[in-house]
Amino acid sequence: MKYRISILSFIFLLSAAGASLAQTSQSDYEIQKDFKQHYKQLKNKFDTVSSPDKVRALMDSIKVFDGHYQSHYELLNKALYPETYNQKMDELKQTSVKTLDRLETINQKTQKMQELQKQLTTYEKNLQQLNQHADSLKQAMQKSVQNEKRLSSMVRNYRKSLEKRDDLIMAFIDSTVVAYQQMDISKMQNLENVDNPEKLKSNGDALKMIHNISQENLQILKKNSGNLRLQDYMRMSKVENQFQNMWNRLGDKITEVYNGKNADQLASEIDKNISEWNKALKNQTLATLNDTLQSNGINLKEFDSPKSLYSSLNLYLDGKIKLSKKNASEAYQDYKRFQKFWNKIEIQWSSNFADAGLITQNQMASIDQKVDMWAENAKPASSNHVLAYLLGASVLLAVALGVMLIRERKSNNKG
Amino acid sequence: MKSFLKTCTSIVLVSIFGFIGCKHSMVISRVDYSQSIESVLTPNQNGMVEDVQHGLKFNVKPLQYIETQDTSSVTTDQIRYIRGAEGFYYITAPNYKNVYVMAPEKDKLKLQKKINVSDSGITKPAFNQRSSYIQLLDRSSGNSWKLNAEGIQKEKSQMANNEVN
Repeated sequence: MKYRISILSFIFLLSAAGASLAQTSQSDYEIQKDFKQHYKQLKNKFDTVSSPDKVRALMDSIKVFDGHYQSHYELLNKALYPETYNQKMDELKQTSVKTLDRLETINQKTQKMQELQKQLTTYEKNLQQLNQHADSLKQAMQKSVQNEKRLSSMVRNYRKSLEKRDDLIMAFIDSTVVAYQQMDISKMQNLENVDNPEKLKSNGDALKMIHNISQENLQILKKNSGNLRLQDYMRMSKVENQFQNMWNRLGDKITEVYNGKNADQLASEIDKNISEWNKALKNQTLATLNDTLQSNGINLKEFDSPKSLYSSLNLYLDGKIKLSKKNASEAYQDYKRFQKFWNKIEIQWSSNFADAGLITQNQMASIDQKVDMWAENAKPASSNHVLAYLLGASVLLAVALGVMLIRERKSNNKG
Repeated sequence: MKSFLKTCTSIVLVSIFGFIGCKHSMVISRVDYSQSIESVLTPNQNGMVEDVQHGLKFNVKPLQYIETQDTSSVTTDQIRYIRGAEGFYYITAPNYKNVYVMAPEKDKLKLQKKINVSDSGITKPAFNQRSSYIQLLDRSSGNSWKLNAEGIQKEKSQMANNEVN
């Protein structure tokens, strides 16, 4: 707007100059001076103009300018010598065209630049959003890691508490067994009329407690199949075994002394719970054993019963023994892994496996034999070969030395 | 004898004229000295003006003395001059009453003619080169005169305007 006003004022000045020329006389000196001055102004405007529209407006003003001074053509030719009026006007027109081209190019570039800037802004925005998203994901991940840590800590605590609970059950079993073994039922029945209610009341809680324990243990097994490890199952199978033994031995006694009305129902439920507990424990132990073997890199054929476990172990060992006979070094790592696992079972959990009915003692002995056989074949032969080579080399050396010694003696005898 | 004397005389005369003719330098005639646009110069504190473009340098104080009878200081800030076709310089300044027609000579400008234009002086004088004369213009009033080495003459259009007025 300001620029338009400036150009308009320029045209107005030219017109005013023209008008004044018409009205009052202007000297040649002034005409050429004004021309030079206006020319310079126009030229400067082309240097400072900033938009193609303004250049077009200036082009119009060149026409006005030319129209104004065209009548002084000859005078200006003299004044501008060695240049001419036409040369000066052509120069101005060329400047205007060049400026227009330049500004249009700049304009296009600026538009392109603005588009790029917009794109860049969009990219920046997207990047920011992605960063935010990444941050929130990171936070979620951190939270998840924390949760995982907390969860694993909870699981660890839970397993510890289960262990304590099992210890408590064992203690309960021991105390119950001791208490009920020393109890004489016939005598108690005789005393029934005297202070039986008190005694029965105190002892009668055992049936309820055994019922609760059996029920809770079953629930724990069902609910925590994913959180427990093989060592937990081994401990639990020991508890279950003891618990079952206790119940088998003292179940009748405990039922008999129970004061409640539903003693038989509780007893039958305990039987049922123990049976289910036993079954669930066996199944889950087998499943966990499967997982443990897999995670240790021991690829046994999958099993779901003690029988299939035994056959799977046999199949695995037979295969490995066969392989070891062909290529001992290849199966050596497998042997090391299996030996490590088997040693743990043999040393720590053999009785648990037997008690849980997973593997009998005979079966374990048979597997043990096969492991030994594997060990014989799986030992790397490289060390034996080296020893054999060393022995051979030492024998050859000894023979060579002997021959040299004999020759030396013979030569000495001759001498 | 008479004819012999005539012949001798004519030979002597031809020789004299021939000798004189041989002593003259070469002359280029019909030279046009006209300066297309007047020069506007600013005198320095000593009154010196210099036109670098046309190679002319002189002191304006003698002119100022004629105009004001004072040379203690330079009283004008502008001197305007133009050279006519015949080679004379037409010099004046704002508020000067006269146009000075100066003839260039060796190391000097000699007053050829002092042309009185106005008793009150012209406030905004200007010279224009025209085909056969120098135009003196009063830019404030628009009056113009024809000038040459002989004198001044008011231009016809102006005269007509004056008559109309």
